[in-house]
Amino acid sequence: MIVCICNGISDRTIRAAVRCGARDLGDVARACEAGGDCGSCHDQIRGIIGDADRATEGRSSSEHHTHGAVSESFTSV
Amino acid sequence: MGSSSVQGHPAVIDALNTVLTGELTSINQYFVHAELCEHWGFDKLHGKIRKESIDEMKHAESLVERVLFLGGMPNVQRLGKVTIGETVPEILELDRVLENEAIPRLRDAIALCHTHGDHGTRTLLESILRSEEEHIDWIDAQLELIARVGLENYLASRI
Ligand code: FES
Ligand SMILES: [Fe+2]
Ligand SMILES: [Fe+2]
Repeated sequence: MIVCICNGISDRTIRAAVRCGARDLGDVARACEAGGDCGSCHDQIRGIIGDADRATEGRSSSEHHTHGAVSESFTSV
Repeated sequence: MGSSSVQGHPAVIDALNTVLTGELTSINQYFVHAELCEHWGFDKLHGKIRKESIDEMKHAESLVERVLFLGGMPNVQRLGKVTIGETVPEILELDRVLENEAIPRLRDAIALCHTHGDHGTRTLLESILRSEEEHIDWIDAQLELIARVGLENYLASRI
């Protein structure tokens, strides 16, 4: 589904950015442009980041996130 | 503003504007979904979803009319979140989400009209609620059909 209408970015692309380390709205916008315009999609993007955070906590509670560290290898899906 | 002699309760006008926001959001989402279906060659789905979009526009029209009648200002500035499907099942499910959100909004507004004794507005909202229920019925029938005959067969019947 297209979550960010302004930029035509799908949930899959946003999930990929989050997998590559995006941890807030700024990270996601830098990685794939999603959320960089009107902001209507911010709640949905936060939801996707939240899903990833919960999944990570489920796997290892000791792991820590570093902000702004989106891997260079991220490419759009 | 205007020459209306009827002054609506501010809470009812707010509720009408909240319902209006949902309608305006649906118009846009369904309109794009209809065009996507046409783009993919599913002419029957295009016709049906386009009609749903126009139904939402008729709902919006009656709400704008009612807000003005009650001496309020219709809020056409505010829009909810539009989410666009990339496949036919996704389109149906995302439209179902908007309809799911519309039902409690309408029910709450109807209850509010009851509280404030605004029977005219209540009747209008009840007719919109019935229309949304029919829409949901159609969406659910499509999703059940997909589950029953399989996506490929379903899509072949929607060309
Ligand atoms: S919908 Fe994402 S910035 Fe507008
Ligand atoms: Fe409607
Ligand atoms: Fe509807």
